[in-house]
Amino acid sequence: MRTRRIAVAGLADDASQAFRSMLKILDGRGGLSWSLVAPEDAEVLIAGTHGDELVARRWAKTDKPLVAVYEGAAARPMTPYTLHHPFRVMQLLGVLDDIDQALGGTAQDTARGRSAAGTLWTFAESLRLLARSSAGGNLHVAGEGAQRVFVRDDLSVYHAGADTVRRLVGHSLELPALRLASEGPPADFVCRPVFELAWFTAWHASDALAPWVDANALYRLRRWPDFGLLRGTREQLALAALLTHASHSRAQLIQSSRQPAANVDRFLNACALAGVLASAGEAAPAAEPAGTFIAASAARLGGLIRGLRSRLGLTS
Amino acid sequence: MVEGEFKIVFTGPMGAGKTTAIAAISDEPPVSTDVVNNDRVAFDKELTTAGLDYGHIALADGAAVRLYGTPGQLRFRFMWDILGNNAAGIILLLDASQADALVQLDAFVDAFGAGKRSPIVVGVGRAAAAGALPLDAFAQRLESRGLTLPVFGVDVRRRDDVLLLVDTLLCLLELGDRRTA
Repeated sequence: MRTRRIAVAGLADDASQAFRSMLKILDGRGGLSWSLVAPEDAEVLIAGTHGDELVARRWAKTDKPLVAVYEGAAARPMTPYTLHHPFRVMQLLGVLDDIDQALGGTAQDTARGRSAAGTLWTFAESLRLLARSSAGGNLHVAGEGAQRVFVRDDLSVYHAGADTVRRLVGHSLELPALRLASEGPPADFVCRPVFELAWFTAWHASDALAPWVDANALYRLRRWPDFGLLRGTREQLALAALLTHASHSRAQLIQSSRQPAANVDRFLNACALAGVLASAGEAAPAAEPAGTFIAASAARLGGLIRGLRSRLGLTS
Repeated sequence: MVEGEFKIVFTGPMGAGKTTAIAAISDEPPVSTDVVNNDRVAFDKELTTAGLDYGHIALADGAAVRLYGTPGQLRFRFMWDILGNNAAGIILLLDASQADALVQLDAFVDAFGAGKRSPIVVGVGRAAAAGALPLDAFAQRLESRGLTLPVFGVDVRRRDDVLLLVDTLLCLLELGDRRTA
């Protein structure tokens, strides 16, 4: 049986107790055992926004996979591995399985990431790293002068000049990595949701898959991107609809959507960095089955749908 | 769904913008059954829809898309079932500045089959208002129930925002159509 090592690095008492109890339940299941160790010796960390800040801050910049636990109506941390407290044992199992798979491909992924790190994905990688950190109320900044982008470390908002926001939405900004800011944003900078920054950063970065998106994994949407904010295109709506109905690999998504591979790759990249993409291994978070409707009586609506789109000016 | 009938239902609590949304895309101003609002504590507006709103969009081939708006108050719950019957899709409008918006989300999503009978698209207005719930809270609420419904921040006074909701509904319908054809 394989063993992996996990540590609690800042977690509220009730969440910590639940986690420890669940680890005992999971022990030995699926040929993998998780042992609780000190953070220094761990391969994986688990932390929460209401945990021990002193402990969490020490590990904020770790490269180790981090499971972020959040509560109530708090914004979901933009990190690949999250749990909403109170969580269930099957949800924990799903996340740990995902991490185990990711760690299994560490060498390959690291090589891919390193080759991209100095070019297209530098800023995005630093945003991902920030997402793994515990929020300390700090601002991080990338860029120089009027082109700077400030990001709050709780990943709620970013600050940028209006022109920078326009360029972000329209095309790639090619920013350097985020670093801790020594001063706040200028007064004339606008404040926007980080979700927007993450989405457009990944969308424009490359028409190939990001280093952290596995081409062979099955993906589904954890939640829909806010296309009210992003002004989603028909192609993006269609891809989101597909990933709502069922899990798809990249190849399946290309085939089902009949869209170019570049479109699909950009979409997966953007969803992943914005934190709305889940791998199929992650357990469904609630008792009700995931998915939406089965349109048993909706067959042969094609003509009506085309007619309505045409009538409303909804061209693709 | 009845052959030849294509019905989109706009639902949500009082004051969420259902009548406004229908007016944004209907060929003619919606027929509304407004009455004097006698629940000014819950929502401070003069008139509210007691029965239904009705609008329509004529298509080139002579077919028509019917747009229905439900009354928002819980005491007219029976109308939701009547109007929701055979609907192609549901557009649920919510007001993030209303204190019980998440309770309303649950109530309306459940009343219309949680997206299992027909697709539901959720439009959340006034998310930028002081004290309003963040959009993320609505998405989180659905996610915690295992529901992956589209949730968008919208202003239904903007026609483009209403069109986004309709287009999303059509994308979900199209997918179901392709799978069952």
